[in-house]
Amino acid sequence: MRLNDLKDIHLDALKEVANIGSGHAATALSQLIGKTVYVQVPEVKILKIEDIPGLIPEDNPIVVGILTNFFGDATGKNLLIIPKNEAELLVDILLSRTPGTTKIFQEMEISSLKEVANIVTSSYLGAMGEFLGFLLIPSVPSLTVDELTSIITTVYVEFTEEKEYAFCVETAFYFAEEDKKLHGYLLMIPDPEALENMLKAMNLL
Amino acid sequence: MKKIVRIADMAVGKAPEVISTYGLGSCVAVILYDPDKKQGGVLHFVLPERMRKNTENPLRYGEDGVRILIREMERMGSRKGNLRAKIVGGSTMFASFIKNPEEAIGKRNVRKAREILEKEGIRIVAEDTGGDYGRSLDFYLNDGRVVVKSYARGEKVI
Repeated sequence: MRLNDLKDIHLDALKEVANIGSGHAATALSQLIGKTVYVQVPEVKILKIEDIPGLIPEDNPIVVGILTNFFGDATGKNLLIIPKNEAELLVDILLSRTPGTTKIFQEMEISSLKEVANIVTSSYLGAMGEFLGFLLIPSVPSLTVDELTSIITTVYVEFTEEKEYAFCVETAFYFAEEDKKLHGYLLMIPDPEALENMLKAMNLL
Repeated sequence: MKKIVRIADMAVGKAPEVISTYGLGSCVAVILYDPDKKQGGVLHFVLPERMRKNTENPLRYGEDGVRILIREMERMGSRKGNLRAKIVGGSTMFASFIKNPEEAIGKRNVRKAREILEKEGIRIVAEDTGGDYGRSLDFYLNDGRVVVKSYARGEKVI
C-alpha cells in the first residue's frame, strides 16, 4: 500500500491506535516520575523528505532523540524526542536531584533516559498490540543528543524503506515540574508492511 | 546577507554573501568555490542516487545534484577547472542499529559526492565528514572558508 492511498478512515484508525498506545505510555511515565503527564490527540503526518523539518513544530533545538525498533506481528520504529534542557530536568526528577543539577549526559544520565524510553515505548506497544491482537516487542533503545533536524532526517533516510516520504503517528506530551513545563514527542513509524497489517487487523483493508 | 539552503536544495552566491545550511546528519553538503570570481554554491543532498526513475526533485540526490550545482556555477561564469570543492556531513547516527556500517547512507553519500566531483575533474580541498553527530555550516564567499558547527564537537573551520 502506498502512502497516497491512505484515506481518512485509515488515518482516523491509526490515530485511535496511537491514542490507546500513548494513553498507556503517559500513565507509565506518570507512575515513573510521580507527576501527571498529559498527552495530546495524536496526529498522522505524511511529508515529503524536503519538508521533514516541519514534522515537529519547533525551530531546530538541541534535543535528545531515543530510537527503538519494534518487532513481532508488525515492525517499525519509535522515536522519543525531548529538548535537551528539558531532558536534563527529567533526569533530575528521575535521579532525585535538585532541579538544575544535571548539565551533562554521562552513562548514568543516558541510561536513565533510555529507561524512560523503554518504559514509554513498551507500554505504548503493549497497549497497541493488545488492541490489534499483535505481539510487539521493542529493541534496546539507542540515544543521541543533537540538532532536531539532523536526527529526524537521519531516522527517515537511514532507517525507513520509503526514503522520499516521511510518515509517522505523532503524539505530543507534557507535564509540569514546579514552574517549568517539560514536553516531548513520541513518534511511531511503522514499516510499510506493518502499516498494512495494522489496517487489516482493524478490518480496514 | 545570508542565504539558507534547505534539505534537498541548493543556492549560489557571490562575495560578500554567506550561504548556510543546517541539520546535516546522514545528508551531505557539497560546497563549490571559485576563488578568482569569489563566487560559489552549496548543495544539501539526502541520498546518493535515485531509487526510481521519476521523482520531482533531482536535488535530493548527490548524483544529479552535484552536476546541477556545477552547471549553475558555469552559468555564473566560473570555469570548471577553477572550482574547489569541500564536502561536509555524512554522519552515521544511531550506529548500533546499522548492520553494515560501510553501507550506511551517510557513507554512501560521501562516496557519491567524491565520485561525481572526481568524474567532473573538480579538486576536493577539504572534508569534514563521518562521525556520529550532526553538522551545520556557514560558507563565506569573500574567502571561501566554511565554518562547520556541531553540538558534539563545537566549531571548526575548513
